Amino acid sequence: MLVFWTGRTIEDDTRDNHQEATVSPYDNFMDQAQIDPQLDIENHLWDIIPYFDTFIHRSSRTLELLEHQADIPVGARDEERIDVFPARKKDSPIIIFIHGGWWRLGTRKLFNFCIKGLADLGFACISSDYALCPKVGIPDITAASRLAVAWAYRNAESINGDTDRIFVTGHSAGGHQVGMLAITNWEDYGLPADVIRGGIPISGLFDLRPFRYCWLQAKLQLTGDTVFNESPLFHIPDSGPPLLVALGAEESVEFHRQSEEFVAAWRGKGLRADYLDVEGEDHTTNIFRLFYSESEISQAILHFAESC
Amino acid sequence: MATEEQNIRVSAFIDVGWLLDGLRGQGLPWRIDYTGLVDHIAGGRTVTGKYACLATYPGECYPKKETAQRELLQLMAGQGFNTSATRMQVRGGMYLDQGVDVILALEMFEQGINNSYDTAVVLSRRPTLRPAIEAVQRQGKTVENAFFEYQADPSNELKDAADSFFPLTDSLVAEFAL
Repeated sequence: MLVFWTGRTIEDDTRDNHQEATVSPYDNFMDQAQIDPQLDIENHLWDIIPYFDTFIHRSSRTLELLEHQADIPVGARDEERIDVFPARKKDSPIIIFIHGGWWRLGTRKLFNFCIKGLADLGFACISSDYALCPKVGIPDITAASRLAVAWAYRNAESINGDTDRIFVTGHSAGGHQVGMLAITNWEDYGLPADVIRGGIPISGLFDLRPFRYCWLQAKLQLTGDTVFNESPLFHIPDSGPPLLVALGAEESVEFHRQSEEFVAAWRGKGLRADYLDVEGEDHTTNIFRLFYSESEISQAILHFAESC
Repeated sequence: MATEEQNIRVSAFIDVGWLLDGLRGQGLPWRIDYTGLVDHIAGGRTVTGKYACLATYPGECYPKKETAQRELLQLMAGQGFNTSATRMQVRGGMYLDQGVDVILALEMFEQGINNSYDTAVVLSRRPTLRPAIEAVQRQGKTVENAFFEYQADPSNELKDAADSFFPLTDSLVAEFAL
């Protein structure tokens, strides 16, 4: 019998959670000790500090180089704010970036560098933010990301943006958010059904089942309901925006499985999902390249947006 | 006739994992001329030994990263380094980089006893290497720590323990990109 660190067995979960009665128990792993190494993007590094140094330096440089408005509130919580970087030309495509950090770490201020290359390519950029787990749950984070989309739609003109060309991108947990935005029924939120022209999840997560049994659960406090409701993989719509699903080739097997299965499911509904596995890059170095407009990832996003 | 500086013998000891994060964590390439970098740090001194050790990732979790790390060790071996590899351990779901500090410490100590160098240049900021630095200093050797300096965490026990420090910068390393 499998017993997870919570002391519960997978049979307990199946019995108690009606959602997991329809979504089969997670069966790719035997136990938490197998899941954790696949989802450990911090502790497996020898020295995480240079990565943070780069986040700080490049984000600071981005604010120096680009005209921007900081700290615009979009939601009720103090953390639910955006930094916006208007385009130089009117009616430019808009792109919203949602940062990662396993839903429990970081702010947009660390990751503003991720819009630099895209701003140089002519996008009006928005750096989105949210309150972190366990102060809030993942559904609250998704709600905050939706508020950023609503802000972009209603304030597009003020940032020289085009409401017909709103794109969303994000990294890691932010990539998960892109998945959630892509499956959202926007008419429920008073916005056009096709408000999102395209989505670019980078190193995203689309199946939260393993997270309930991994080292992050103490922070994420996932329940059967949130696992089901916040897993884009289980809610592929009949119509949805084109996607460019990207990750670094050096990322773990589980990160690849998450992206590959999401792409297959999206395509399974006849929807467009491009796949980009960037050679030579890992989970973090891939987004370092977003600082530069000529990088493979920035150029891929530009070409994808132009094709949507 | 050798100059006074050329008479000083230098051996370099690279803690590849920590250096690799220093490179990749700053968006720098890892395919660099490590020998050229060591020669630059040595200045006019004579390089008598180059040692590098890395605990590679488990391929079952990170197949391409493991391949790249093995490629890195081959690259360094091709540049004349004595390379050693251990395997990153996974215990209870946690990664454990075991053995690298022991291998580098033994190499530093053994080469010191053999009087193969006068100055050990250590490229790392792994705190557990401090006893090795202090041990070879007790042998009468001098130790130079060469590494990056970070604002987010300026601490570096090896810099504190070493006799001198050589700051690596991104612009310097970029000069040695292949």
